[in-house]
Amino acid sequence: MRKFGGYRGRRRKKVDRFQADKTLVIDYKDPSVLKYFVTERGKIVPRRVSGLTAKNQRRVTQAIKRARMVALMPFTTVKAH
Amino acid sequence: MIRQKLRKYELIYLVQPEATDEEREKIAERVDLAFEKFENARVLRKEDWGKRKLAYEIRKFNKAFYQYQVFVGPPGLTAEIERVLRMLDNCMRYLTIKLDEGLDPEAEIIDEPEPVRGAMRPVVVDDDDDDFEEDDDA
Repeated sequence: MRKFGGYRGRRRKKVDRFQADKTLVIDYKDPSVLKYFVTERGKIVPRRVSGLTAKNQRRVTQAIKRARMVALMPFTTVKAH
Repeated sequence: MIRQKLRKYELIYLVQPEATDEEREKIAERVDLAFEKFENARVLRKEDWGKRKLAYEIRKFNKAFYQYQVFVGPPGLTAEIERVLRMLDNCMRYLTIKLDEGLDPEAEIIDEPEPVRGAMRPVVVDDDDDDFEEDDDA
């Protein structure tokens, strides 16, 4: 689906990774999956970028926040630059 | 009397990296003790995730022992477990997550172990205590 007649080129159709790959599970204990949904600084990627469904975005967000509590994922990473 | 429905939880707690085996044992015992105060409360599965690197510093430590367990119990049990963990100085963090509720105490509760997936299960074994200047940010 295209929004607004394709200015700035055609937008790539976004796919929800968890719908595409049913073996992927959203779990706060598994940071290897969740890391795709945070920026290098550790911020949660918004839905418009992550391409997740609303439901899965909520689950991912929840999982990341839990992972942060037990130091499996960072709240922030201070990059010296 | 209405029989109390059970809830299923999982718990992760972090023990500070300098704790001895005995100290860690003691924490586990204290947690186990909490189960005896509640009817039908029991541990389904325990996992030792070993000493892992933390995503951020806690109490100036970069590593911690991760302990994980799945259990069932009546309401109030987790409050007691968390109270116990809060009192133990060696315990740096804990997190309890409710997995299921409304379980019949009479029915047999089976625990299906999760498939080993992702980075969580295979424990990073490096036991050098380089707990300072570990990170690349100078």
